[in-house]
Amino acid sequence: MREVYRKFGRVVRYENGVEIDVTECGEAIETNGAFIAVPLLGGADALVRPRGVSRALARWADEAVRPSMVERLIIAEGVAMHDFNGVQWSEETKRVHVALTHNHIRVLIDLDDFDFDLISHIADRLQHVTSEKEAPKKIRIAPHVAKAIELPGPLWQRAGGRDGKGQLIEEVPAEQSNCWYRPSYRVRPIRKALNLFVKCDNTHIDESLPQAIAIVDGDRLLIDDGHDVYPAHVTLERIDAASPTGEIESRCR
Amino acid sequence: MKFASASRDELWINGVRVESRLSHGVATDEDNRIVARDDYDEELVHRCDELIADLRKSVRDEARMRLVASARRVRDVVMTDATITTTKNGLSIVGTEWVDQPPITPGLPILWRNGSASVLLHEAIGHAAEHDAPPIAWPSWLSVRDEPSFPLDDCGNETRIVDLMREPPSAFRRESFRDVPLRRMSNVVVRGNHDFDVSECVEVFVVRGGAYDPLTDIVTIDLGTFTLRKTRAEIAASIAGARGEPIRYPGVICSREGQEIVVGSHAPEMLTR
Repeated sequence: MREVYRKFGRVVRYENGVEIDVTECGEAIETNGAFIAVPLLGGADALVRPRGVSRALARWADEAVRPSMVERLIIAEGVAMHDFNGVQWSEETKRVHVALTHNHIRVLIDLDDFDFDLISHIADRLQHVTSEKEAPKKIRIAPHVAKAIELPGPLWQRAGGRDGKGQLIEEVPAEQSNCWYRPSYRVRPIRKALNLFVKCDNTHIDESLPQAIAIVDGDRLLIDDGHDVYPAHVTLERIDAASPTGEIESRCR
Repeated sequence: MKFASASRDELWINGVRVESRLSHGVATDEDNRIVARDDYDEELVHRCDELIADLRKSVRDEARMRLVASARRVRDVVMTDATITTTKNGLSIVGTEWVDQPPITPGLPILWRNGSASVLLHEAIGHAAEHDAPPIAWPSWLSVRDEPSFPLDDCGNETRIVDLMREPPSAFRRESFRDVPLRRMSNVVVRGNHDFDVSECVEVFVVRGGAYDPLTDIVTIDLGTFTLRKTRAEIAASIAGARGEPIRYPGVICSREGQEIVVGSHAPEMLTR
């Protein structure tokens, strides 16, 4: 069986103080277990340069995040056209990765939108961080944190878009997913459930609970209980509620 | 300034080629902006084809081997690299000459053999220098230098030898035309002769991995059966001696900011307590 995948992409990325604009396209062919990837000359020339990163950088400069707290900032926006055995689709992506540090604590924030208000809020709370405490019995987990950590209980794959082999992504329990994850034409695709979310009958989140607002580098979460902000080792036991925004309410062990 | 690169990499498992990739492109640097496209440089691709053909002669059965041939052009100077990474039982070395690592018991002095002390000091001195970490007191007899083996770095600057205990590496390097150049080590050479006696110790021949965290100043070395975690000051204080000429360690694939590059590594036998 022969599978041919082509990707035409352009991404603008700000990283380490430099803005890099990358245009490329390529083809991956899988035949009887062998994987071959080669560039396709000039195929991505028509793709328009994404403009969001330049605008985002101007906004970032206005944010109140102290530069000395920012250990790493990566802002990226991309456009891509895909073709898998004749099935064609396109996508646009935005990504922000920030590492903030304060008092020898590093928090990592990954977002799929340029939500600098959220980063600014976390930076502000991080400046009030105290020493590590025991995890609360129940917590809320902010949507961007819930996306990045391993959650207990049945996970589902949300419908939307196409996977790395052009199949429509359907809503199914994660373990029943037959999707393929392909981050680049140069990488052999692997089986992986996509767009994971927690399905829970209860969608009401108790807003009075302490909230996990960021991942602390290593294996801890940054907890904000409204007064104190502190790192805690959190072992999630059972999810009690999941809101449509992606926020989770969970019991902790 | 233009930086052009090409690479061919292949994955062979048990003597069968299962993956093959070609990559090429040109990055044009203008102040704090880089425009990168996957343009074709015929000479660079041809050089990669020749290099990978040579590497294929070393492919063996009963191992997972990754062959990488790369060429880059900076200010009309073409530079090449060719490496094989061999993986067996989760342990990787750069090259094909396999060295067995006996299990390591923590608590005993460590004799770093086979050039492996260069990995410890790559993390504790080299990466710390890249991050402008404050200086600490290393043994006066110890020398750790970055000695690039190529004339120009990936930004077109002439490379030079630097003392990593005093300053960061001189060379800016990038994994490919898609990447932002970073100040990186190229070829770490540890030297020093200082007698030591040891009756009982464990011997390290191969290191699984390592890291340096600039926030905590902690160096982590994965020795398979246990992980060494110490501050730079603790490592400096633990170095008891070294003997002999620098031995080439079978390679370090160094990853920083998602960019993997090969860093040459050489060190004499060294004892830490």
